[in-house]
Amino acid sequence: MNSAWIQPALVALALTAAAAYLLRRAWTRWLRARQPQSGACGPNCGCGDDSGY
Amino acid sequence: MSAAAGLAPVLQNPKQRPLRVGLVGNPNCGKSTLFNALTGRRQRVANFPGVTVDRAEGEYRYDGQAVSVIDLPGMYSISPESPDETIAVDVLLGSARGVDALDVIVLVLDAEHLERNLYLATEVLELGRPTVIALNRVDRSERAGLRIDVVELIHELGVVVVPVVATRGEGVDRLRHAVARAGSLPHSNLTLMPDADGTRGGDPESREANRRYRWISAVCDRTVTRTRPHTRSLSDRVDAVVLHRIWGPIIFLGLMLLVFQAMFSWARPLAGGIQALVTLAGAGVRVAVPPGELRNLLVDGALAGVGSVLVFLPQIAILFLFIGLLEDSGYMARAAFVMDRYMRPLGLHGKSFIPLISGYACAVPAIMATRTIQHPKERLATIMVVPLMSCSARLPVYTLLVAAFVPAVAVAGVFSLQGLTMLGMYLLGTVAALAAAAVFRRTLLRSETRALIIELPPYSLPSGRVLANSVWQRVRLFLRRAGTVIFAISILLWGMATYPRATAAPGQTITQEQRLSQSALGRLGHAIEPAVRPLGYDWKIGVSMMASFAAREVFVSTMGTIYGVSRDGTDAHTLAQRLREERNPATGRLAYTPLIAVGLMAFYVFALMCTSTVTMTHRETGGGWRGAGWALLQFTYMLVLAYGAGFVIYHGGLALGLGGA
Amino acid sequence: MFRLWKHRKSEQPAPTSRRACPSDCPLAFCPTGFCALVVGFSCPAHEARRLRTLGVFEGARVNIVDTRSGILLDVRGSRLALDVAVARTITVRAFAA
Repeated sequence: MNSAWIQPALVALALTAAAAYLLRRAWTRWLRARQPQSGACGPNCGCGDDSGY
Repeated sequence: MSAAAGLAPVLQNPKQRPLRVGLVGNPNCGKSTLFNALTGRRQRVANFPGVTVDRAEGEYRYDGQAVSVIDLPGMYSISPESPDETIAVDVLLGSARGVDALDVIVLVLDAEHLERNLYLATEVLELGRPTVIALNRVDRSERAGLRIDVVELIHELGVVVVPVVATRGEGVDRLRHAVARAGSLPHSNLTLMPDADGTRGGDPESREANRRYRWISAVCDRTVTRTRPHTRSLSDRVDAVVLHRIWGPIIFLGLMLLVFQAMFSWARPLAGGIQALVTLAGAGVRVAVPPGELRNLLVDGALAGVGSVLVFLPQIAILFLFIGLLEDSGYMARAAFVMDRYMRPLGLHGKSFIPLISGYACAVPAIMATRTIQHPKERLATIMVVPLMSCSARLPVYTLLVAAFVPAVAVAGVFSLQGLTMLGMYLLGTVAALAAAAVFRRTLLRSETRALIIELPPYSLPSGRVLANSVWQRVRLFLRRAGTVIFAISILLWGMATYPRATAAPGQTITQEQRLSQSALGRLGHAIEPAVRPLGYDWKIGVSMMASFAAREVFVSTMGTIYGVSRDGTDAHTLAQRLREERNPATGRLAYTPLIAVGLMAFYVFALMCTSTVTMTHRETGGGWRGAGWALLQFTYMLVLAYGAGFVIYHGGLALGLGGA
Repeated sequence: MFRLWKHRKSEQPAPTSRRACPSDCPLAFCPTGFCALVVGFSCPAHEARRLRTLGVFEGARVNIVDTRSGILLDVRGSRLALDVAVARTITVRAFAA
């Protein structure tokens, strides 16, 4: 009986988390784009730009 | 790194501020390898100037002291020519904004080309700052028959000279020691002899250069002995063929063809393996999770979406492997030189070639690599067209469509039609990039094309370890992207494709198609369908295209999710098969035809669908409003090209009777 | 664009291998295998500056390695590639190696 709502709840959680993650990512990248960038690009560059480079 | 760091720092004299060290040297002197060896930090290493286009920072500890190292872009002298040299000079002189001044300069000299490298040395030593010289590649110079008297060199230059072999890590610890002591040693007060020698007239710069070279020549006479006569090297013999006027370009095209062939044929079995793993994972989830919403999300959303992108990992890895191989071996420099004469009529020169080729991997570092181009207008023109070079993110889209709609037949017995079609897409992008550059250089960005003056480094066998490492870094980034952004988007898209749930009227059954249409995704798709119908696409493609403006790979994962959601329980079919068999519910005819696929691929060739690229363009074209203007122009012209191409191909093909279906 | 190409082709230096330069001539016209002593530059200052830092300065000796696509020089062991246009602005005195 209990388990009937667990799955939908988890799904709702997952969806919200995914949306939040994407929004936050867009926000930080927008913020960082406004600052002058002088570090090297790459896995550890810190700007969070994880393009295929 | 250093064992001394383990002692309780409180008892030692705590050196709070890290020692700031800058690595300076000619391009191709092995600076980046030395940087890796010093800091242990993995970084892309290549053999052609222009790859290290921005400073890279790392740290190490020596004797209880933290040392921060900056790897500066290569420069030939302290009179900057291109933006990357300007940055290096600014940091060197301590005038760079936001960068602390350097405490110690480590000047890296290539022992194999000591005489040329010493030009920069004379300028750097004249600065009078604490300097340590790292004499790199002494192993190669010895093999080439040169013997360098290091003690005499120290005497001549007045600073510590540490022979190192960066690739093997030899001498690196001695270098760290020298750096730590550099502050306490007397500075070099190298002042070149004033020209009390009667140099002929001529402008001051020429006299200056003459003075320096005369001094350099004298130093080399006293420190370098040739133990073996200089013979025509293997590099020259290879160049005799590679630089041939006819054979050169043919060899280059042949190499490119080989790369594409490899990408397709070598990758297939590996991709199949990954697909099998994904299917296995799906089966595992079905066993572990009871039927319900969560299971659907995991299998149809997450796995379908991410899995459809993961299968492209082998292809992308192979692409990066080959590009790395071409760069690290020194071939790229030759290719740039050979291509220069063909690019000149377009208003570009050989130095634009490297960024353009890098664009096949990813436009973001390619745009950064344009910093080696001296002239601002040439640089701007290159930046504007780089995204037209088909980047690796387009690969999943091409591959999916080719696999679904191009028959796997052989052409001329050797090449596969599928491989050739892929090559065709890459060629389309390349030709478009060159044409667009020519247009830009004749309209908005007119100027004289600058001279091409580049050094061709000797060929060398790329270090397997370095190459493997750089490929691994790219693979890691790809996986990270798949595991984060694409994962999140796939989940969201599944949600949008499932909810709101369609309700059946009593007595009626709903097809999957109808269920899909009722969902949020479906409604969105139908809303924008009018915009893409002229190109022959339906709402499913329309929605996938919209989603892929964030990242191109998402086209594939969106289609994967849509078809994952709409399938009727049989997952034996791959996405490609599903696309091939899909029928338009209204007309009953095939929804997708090869014509539509080609048009769609052409759309992806031209359209700019990458926020990272837009950001980079904005930054590298000056930032602020000016940069925004260029970025907007870039996005717009590419979108116009894309839509136009899709339109022309579709309707032109229909007119020619190629519609199929 | 085709016009440009034709124009460029007609301006290619005459491919010779035996013609010796009697006196000072542009680097672009020097045959492969010859040695050249740099006499002067008539190119813009920034290009001359770049050439000097790369080892091509007044009084330098360079070897001409290849003249098929542009000019490839051997400058003290390093290979330097120049396009034909800039090679035409460098005056040298050539002699057989």
